[in-house]
Amino acid sequence: MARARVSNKPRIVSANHLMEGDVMYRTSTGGWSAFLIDAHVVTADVDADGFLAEALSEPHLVVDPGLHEVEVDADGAPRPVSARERIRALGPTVRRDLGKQADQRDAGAAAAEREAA
Amino acid sequence: MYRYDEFDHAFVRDRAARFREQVERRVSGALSEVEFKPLRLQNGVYLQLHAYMLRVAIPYGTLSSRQLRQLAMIADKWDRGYGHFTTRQNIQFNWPTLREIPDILDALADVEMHAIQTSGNCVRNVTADHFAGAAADEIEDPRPTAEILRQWSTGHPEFAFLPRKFKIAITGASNDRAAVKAHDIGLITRRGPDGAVGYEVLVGGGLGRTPMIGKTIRDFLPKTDLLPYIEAILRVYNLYGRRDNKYKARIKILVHEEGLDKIRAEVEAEFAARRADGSKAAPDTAQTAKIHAYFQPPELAVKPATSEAYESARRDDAAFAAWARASVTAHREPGYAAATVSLKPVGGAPGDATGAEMRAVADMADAFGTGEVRVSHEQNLMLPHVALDALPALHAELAAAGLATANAGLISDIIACPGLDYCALATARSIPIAQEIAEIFGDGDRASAIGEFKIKISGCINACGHHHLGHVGILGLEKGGVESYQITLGGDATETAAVGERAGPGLAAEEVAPAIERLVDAYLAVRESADERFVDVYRRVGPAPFKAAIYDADPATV
Repeated sequence: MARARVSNKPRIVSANHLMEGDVMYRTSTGGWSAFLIDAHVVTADVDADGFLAEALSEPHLVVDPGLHEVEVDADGAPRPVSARERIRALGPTVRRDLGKQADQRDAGAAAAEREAA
Repeated sequence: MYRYDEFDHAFVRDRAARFREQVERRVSGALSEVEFKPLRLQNGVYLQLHAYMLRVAIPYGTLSSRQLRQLAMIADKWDRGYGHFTTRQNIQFNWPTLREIPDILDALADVEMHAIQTSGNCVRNVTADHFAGAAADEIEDPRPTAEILRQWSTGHPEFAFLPRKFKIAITGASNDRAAVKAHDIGLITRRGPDGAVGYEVLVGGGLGRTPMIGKTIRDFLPKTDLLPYIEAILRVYNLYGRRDNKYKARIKILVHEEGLDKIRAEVEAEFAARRADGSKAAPDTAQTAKIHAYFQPPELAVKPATSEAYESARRDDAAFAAWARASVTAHREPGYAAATVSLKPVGGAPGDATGAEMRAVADMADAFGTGEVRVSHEQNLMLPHVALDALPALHAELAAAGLATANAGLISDIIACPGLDYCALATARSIPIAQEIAEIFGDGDRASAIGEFKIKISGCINACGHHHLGHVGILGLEKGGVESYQITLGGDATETAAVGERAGPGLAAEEVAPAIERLVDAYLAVRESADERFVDVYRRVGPAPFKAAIYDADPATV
């Protein structure tokens, strides 16, 4: 994917898992997470280029890595600027029971159950 | 319907095995993604927003109940319990993993199905009229021809790397229910001067960012000349089609830039050369006869033209009457009908069906039809041969399964691509727009009173939702990071094909459904009778009152 024409804006790298197809986010330790909250945010263009290059060097793990602009909230959590990446982070808006939004709800429900037990 | 012979079985199994190997080589690094991508595309495997997507071919939209049950099994076992029927009569699964796709291809091969050439720069699924073999107005069932074209194009080595995708559609009647004029090659079955069956051949139709209606390259082509002539068109396209610019690579651009007369001359010269050298492009007569034999009309019990059971149900059961008005189509055999199963439940995702729904339709096809199901390019299913007597019982079963939405052909029977909720190419969401519009008009008296009204929605310029051909088309774009929807008016997918005209500036998502409601009110105010469809009124009065309605403005100012 072509790098967005931005300069020194906060960005993350997302890709798709080669075998599973799931959306993945590159983390600060150079690994991959299924969750946006774990995405490492880079700002300087030179850092972003290097971060993307690392992702591109792992075609055995992921497909189609790209840089995507985000906003960072007060807690440091990234929020994609584009609707496309927001939908990728959650799942189809017309099927709230599918995609990461459902996984996160399930994870949240499981955590609540464990707490209650 | 067609049954695989040993060659077909071996071909599809071999292809599935080869793709399994290609996946292994991609994982091992022996194939790069650049090398793997065209291979996976030609096996119907896309990478979408959330996951891979597998597009399974349903040749000319014809399925057996056994095949539909297998698709249901695939949806339940390897996907998220549903599939999406498309505007090219295929089915898409939105959540397969690359790891499991080889197993899915094996499961498809078990029931004589595949995903070959449903993507990539090759000849795609050949589509046909969903009422083929049943329609009262048909000259000839187009499906044997579609099957011949499928076999000829599958794995054709010369046409495996065309400049771009290539789509062929065929209609067996003058009434075009296959949108042939919007295809790279469109075939209209005609009778020649001596009464023999042949085809009017159109070339250069297409949608996307430069929509064009196909032009007639041959007024009448005898049947025996079909393959050499189609091959001549493909050869000329392969030779001269642009490869420098993906957006100018379709045959419609070649015809537009070079002129139809020049392309016709090239094609006729190539065709003549093929005939002069004794080329065996035409299938042998034994093979042709064998294919035709698979499409013999089913043996239907003789029935009287009218059915008391059907007529009394229509009189006594308002819900059945409403469903029958929308869903029952005249059959060429007295006492029978083709029944449409709408996959557009009000508020649902157009064209989606769960595994349970697919199994229910398969069971109904066996119980009330001939075990055959059709998929239309309008994303609905059909049972092509149902006795009128059986329609009340069929409706009851459909209602129990939640499949009796009485809106086929009406305003809430909306065609929509998956859009930005699923598709990596999309610029805006399409499904929520369809849902909001459908919820306004429903499938009851209001929709029925409006009459035939074709809304088609695409989530990007690629026009997979066929918006250019909608009586009202809606194109979702992105403007400054926000979804923006353009409305087009007066499109037509039939034999009076037309590309819709843009009404004006884009609307925000929340403005679209109210604008459509105002548009419909404006139509109802000026139509001369309940039988005058929106598209007919548009042609009679022009766009002004409808533009004014959309933008809630004075007609004098639009």
